[in-house]
Amino acid sequence: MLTRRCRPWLGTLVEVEAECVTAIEAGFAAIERVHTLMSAHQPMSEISRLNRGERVEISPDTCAVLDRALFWFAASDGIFDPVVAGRSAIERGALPLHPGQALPERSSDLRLLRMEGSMAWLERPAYLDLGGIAKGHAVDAAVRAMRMAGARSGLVNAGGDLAVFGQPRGIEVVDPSTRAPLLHVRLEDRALATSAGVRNDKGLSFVHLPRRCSRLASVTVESAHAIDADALTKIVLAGHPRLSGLLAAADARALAIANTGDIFDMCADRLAA
Amino acid sequence: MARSTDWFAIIPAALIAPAPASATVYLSIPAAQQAFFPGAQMVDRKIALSPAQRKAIAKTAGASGTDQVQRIWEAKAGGKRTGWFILDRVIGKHEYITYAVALSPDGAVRGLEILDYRETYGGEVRNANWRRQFSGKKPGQSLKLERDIRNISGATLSSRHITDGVRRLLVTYQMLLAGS
Repeated sequence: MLTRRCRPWLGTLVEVEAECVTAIEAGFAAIERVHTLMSAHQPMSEISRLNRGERVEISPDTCAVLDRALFWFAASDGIFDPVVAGRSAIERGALPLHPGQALPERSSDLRLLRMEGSMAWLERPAYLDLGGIAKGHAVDAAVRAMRMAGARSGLVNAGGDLAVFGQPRGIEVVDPSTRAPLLHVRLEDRALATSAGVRNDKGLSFVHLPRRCSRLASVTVESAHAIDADALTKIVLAGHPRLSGLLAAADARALAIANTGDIFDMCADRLAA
Repeated sequence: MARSTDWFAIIPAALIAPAPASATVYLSIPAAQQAFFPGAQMVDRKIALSPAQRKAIAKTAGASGTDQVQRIWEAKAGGKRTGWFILDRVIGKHEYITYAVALSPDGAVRGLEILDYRETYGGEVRNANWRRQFSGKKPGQSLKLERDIRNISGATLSSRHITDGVRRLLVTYQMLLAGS
């Protein structure tokens, strides 16, 4: 008998499912930890301290996410960039500028991030927004915590960044315009992430995805880890020219829903040119 | 890596969409009360709010949406108050969320659980391109939308309405319950 709970974290609704409440609580504790460390909305998070120009002794969680962000920044030739994402979020007022935080420089990118041991800092004024990767890490961390707590089967879904272990589960990928289910995916011991337009009065908005390729409405990536699936959705949406290689690097696969409603298997690079 | 085109079971989830809504129930009211206050006696303390009170709450909290009756229970164990359980709902453009907040006797948030979640889809549930693309293919199992959709990956839902709702409940607590 599986139990499922849902709580607001990471700016979205997070669902955690397992056989016992102890494992569910362990999963939510990990989600809360990642939220507290990496939310750019919270003035005392490690990320907000970095954004104020502090040298910060970062936690293993933040270190893991920044490491992976640097990996995908390099692998994607700069397409995946939490500093560019942060600058864009500041410009449209989606994230706050906390007291003591300088406006990011216009040309800032992730190369301004320095990491030495457990210390990290930004060399010049920049704004890190880990919204494109930290939810994935939170999902992975929750799965690890639930397994440690003895769960044999479970699911964590943070607003579309999700992972399952144990018993396989069916996932519906929804149409971003209508949220009606479009695709059925069977997932077993794997992670899945979807990035898509957000519907509003005028249709779909993509302001939160500054580098989107205009032909795609939604991208879904399946991978071993949610952190990679999460980051890769943004790279696929931007239309990287060597997508197959990047997906292979994370043993990942991608599927896209185009504006026309057609579905593309992105492993074949059909839309990526 | 082997190229594969069938790694996702590409199944049109619903060729003809039934009622355009989905609902997920996580917890009943008694189950949520039990989760927050195990073994406690739950005393119904619901409050009818006047229009003036609702207006004052909305102004202070910066968030409207208070119902005419705020459903509140006092948790008691051994004759002593152990906390408050407040039931509330938020209504977004497309979603209806019932949630409960547990407060300590002095009004600090001890926990929050979403009890159920319901959303309506946009007007255009299925477009012609989709039907064309899959015509002649195996339709797969059709979904009974009210029941079967458990796991959704797609456009992220914002938790902003809930954050606003909790702020409104804390103002309600300060105005009506604190010191009671």
